[in-house]
Amino acid sequence: VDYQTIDKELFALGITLENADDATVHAHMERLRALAAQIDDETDRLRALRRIDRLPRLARPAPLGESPQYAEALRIVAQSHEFQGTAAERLAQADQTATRVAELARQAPPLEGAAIMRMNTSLKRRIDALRHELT
Amino acid sequence: MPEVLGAAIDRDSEAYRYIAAIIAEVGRLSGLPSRWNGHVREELDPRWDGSANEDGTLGVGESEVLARLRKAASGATLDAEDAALVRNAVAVVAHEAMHLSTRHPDPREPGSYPPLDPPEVALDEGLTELWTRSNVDNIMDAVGLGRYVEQAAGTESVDPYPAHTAAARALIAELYQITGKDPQDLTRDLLALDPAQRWDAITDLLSDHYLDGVEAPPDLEHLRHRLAGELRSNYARVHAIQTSNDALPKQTSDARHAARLAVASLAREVEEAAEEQRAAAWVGPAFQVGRDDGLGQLRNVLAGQRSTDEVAQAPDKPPTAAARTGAASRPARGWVRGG
Repeated sequence: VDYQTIDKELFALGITLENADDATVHAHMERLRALAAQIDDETDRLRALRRIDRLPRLARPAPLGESPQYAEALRIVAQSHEFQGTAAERLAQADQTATRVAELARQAPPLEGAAIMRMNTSLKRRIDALRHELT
Repeated sequence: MPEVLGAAIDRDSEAYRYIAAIIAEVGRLSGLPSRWNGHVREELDPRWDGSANEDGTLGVGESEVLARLRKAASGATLDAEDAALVRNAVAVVAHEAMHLSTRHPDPREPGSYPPLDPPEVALDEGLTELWTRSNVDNIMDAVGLGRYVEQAAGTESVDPYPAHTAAARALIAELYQITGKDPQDLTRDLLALDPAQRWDAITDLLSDHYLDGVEAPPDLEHLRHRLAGELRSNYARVHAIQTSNDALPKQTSDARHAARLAVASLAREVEEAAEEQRAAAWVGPAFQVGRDDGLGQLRNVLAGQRSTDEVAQAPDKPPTAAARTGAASRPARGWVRGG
């Protein structure tokens, strides 16, 4: 058993344990702790144990924002990616949306604002690609 | 160099050292080579907090990344929200670093689709964020920011791509259940590809699984192209869901379901193709469909008999190899549940 074994198991559980109850998650944690105890290298063993402690967080989906700004930003970013038109029209539309998203981020509570700002990076990729297409 | 990027971040600064360490750790954990060129530049446009640029430069914003990393470098004890915002800064860099580990889309390659359209955005952002979320705490440990994982305990970062992440997670879970391949490897292998090529790769994965030991269908290339196109078009639903006014929990649940259906539909079609090949091999070359051998009636009788048997076993779905070979001989397939 090495750190990679535990790491792979944890990733798989993070994918498959969706909606599992606490008892199931904790049973997996106990099983993995027993496995991790067999890791020879002390640093890797401690690292694996610390990672196992975080399984409950991995097994839950990241929370959704609750602010109206978060919901609006998700919707308008998605609409922008779906927007049809010429490259110039799509570029203008994506640019306007990104400006609105940044405004929403400023208005939202800090953690939600940070997530809203991250939504804009997908629009930036779209804008860069469209600029590239138009040059 | 893109003109939207400003000054280079000083390589001797704490922020640069953290960013370089995060990018290195992303490479180490994913095992993927990076296109990063060693440059980190500040985003001039305050609308962006991070970007993976075509020339390999990483762009980072002042407020959500550089200021957060400088604060972390001071070693100060932070409240849970500020610690969670440090994690967000690490996630921004890690997410963009993963985009730098992905092959840059080349729409001129044979079999490519238009880049960055909705299904591609949904799959690309979903897989990237799924990987980032699974690894962000490990990365923080590795770069010396582990104390903020504990200080942020109980305060979660909010998902910037909830429908896409939920769908990517469902997609990987379904592929894992069908093929038994390791979810971490599946995620990494898909991320390593040009985003436009991932539909073919998923189609190939299921083809390899269901067509294992079966002679390839004569029209395999055509079949592959058609199925990859259908997968892509079914996955577009994941993105469209997020344009609605539905409540967000319903959107993520619908996105998960759409991803499962997209895989289920692909699995069913590939399995049917495998089934047809098995039937052709069983009947023998002289009986193969399309050959005018005078034995069409017998062939039809055999085909009808097979169809009747299968309908009796599985009245709600098309004939499957599992139905013919005995479903009990294999573990339950995710796509059966999803379909």
